[in-house]
Amino acid sequence: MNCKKTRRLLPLFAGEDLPVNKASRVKAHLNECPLCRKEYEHYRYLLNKTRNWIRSETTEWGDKEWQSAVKKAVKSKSFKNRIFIPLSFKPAWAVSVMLIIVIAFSVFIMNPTFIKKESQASQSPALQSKESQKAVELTLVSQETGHKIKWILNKEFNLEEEIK
Amino acid sequence: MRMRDEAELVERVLRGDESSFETLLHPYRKGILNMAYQITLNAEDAKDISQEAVVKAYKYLKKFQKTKNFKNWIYKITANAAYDFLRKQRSDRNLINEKERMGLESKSSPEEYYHNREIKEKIEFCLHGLSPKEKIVYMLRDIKEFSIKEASQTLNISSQSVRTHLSRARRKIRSQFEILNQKTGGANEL
Repeated sequence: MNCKKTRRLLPLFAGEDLPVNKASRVKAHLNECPLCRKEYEHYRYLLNKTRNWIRSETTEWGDKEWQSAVKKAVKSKSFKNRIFIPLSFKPAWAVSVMLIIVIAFSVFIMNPTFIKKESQASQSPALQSKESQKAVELTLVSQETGHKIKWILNKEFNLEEEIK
Repeated sequence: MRMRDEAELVERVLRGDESSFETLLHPYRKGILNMAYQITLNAEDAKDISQEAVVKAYKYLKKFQKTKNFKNWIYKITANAAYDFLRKQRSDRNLINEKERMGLESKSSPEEYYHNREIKEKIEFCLHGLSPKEKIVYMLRDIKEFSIKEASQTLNISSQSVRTHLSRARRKIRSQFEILNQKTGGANEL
C-alpha cells in the first residue's frame, strides 16, 4: 500500500474502524513509513483531545424540569384501558396469511355447487337417469267416464310417457 | 438497572402504570441530556431535544423489544431527535453561526479566546463545517462509542455510509484543529 492510499484510510484506521484486511495493510505500511506514522499519531491525538473536550461539556436537569418533561410525555399518550393490544408486524402477517388460507379452504369446501356435484357423482347412473327423466307425474281423471290418463313429464316439461 | 427489571417496568407502563415511566428513565436522564448537549452545545436546545426524546420513548414504548438493551434504545431515540433538530437548525441558523464563528478570526486574540469561552468554543470551532449527518455519526461513534453497526442501525443507513461520513468528519475536524493551532500559537500541538 502506498502513502496516498494509506492517508486516505488513516481517519478510519485511527479509530479502529477499518475492516481487518485493510487495517493490516495500513499497519504494515505504517511500520515502514515514518511520515504516515506521524500523521496517524496526530489523528489519534486529535481523537482523544476532542473526545475529552466534548465529554467535559455536561449539563444537568433541574428536578422540576425533569418531572415536567416526563409528565408531558405521559400526557401525550395513554396506555390505560387498552382493550386491544396491537400485534407486532410479523405475528400480524402470520395471522393474516392463516386467515386467508382458512377462508379460501372453507369457500372451496362449502361451495353448494361443489357439494351437489359430489352427491350426484356418488349416485348410480340408472338412478341418475331416472331422476332426470321423471320430473313431474300428472294424472287426469274424467268426471263423466271415470277414465284415467297418466302423463309423465321430464325436467323440460316434455311428455315422456302417457299411460291410459 | 438490570434488563429484567427494565422489562418489567416497561410492561408496567404498558399496563397503564404511568409512574413507572419515570423510574424506568431515571438512570438515563443525565445521559439523554448530555448526549443532546454535547451535540448542540446549547443547554436550551439540549433540553428541547431531550424532551422530544422522552415523549417519543413513551409513545413508542410498546415497540421496544424486551430482549434488547433499553439504554441503547433510549440513546438511539435521543440521537435521532438530535439529528432531526440539527437538520432543522441548519437551515435556520447558518448565518448566525457563521458570524459567531468569525469572532474568533477577526476580533479576539488567542489569549482572550482561551480565557473567555475555552473548551466550548474549541469544540464549536472544530465541529464547524460538519453536516448534520457527519456530526451525528461522529458523536455516536467517537463520543458515545457506538459500534459502526449500532450507528448504522440508529440512523438507518449502511455501515459503509457510516464509515464514509465518519472519515469525512474526522478529516474536517483535523483541518479545523490545524487552523485552531495556528490561531492559538500551537497550544494544542502534539
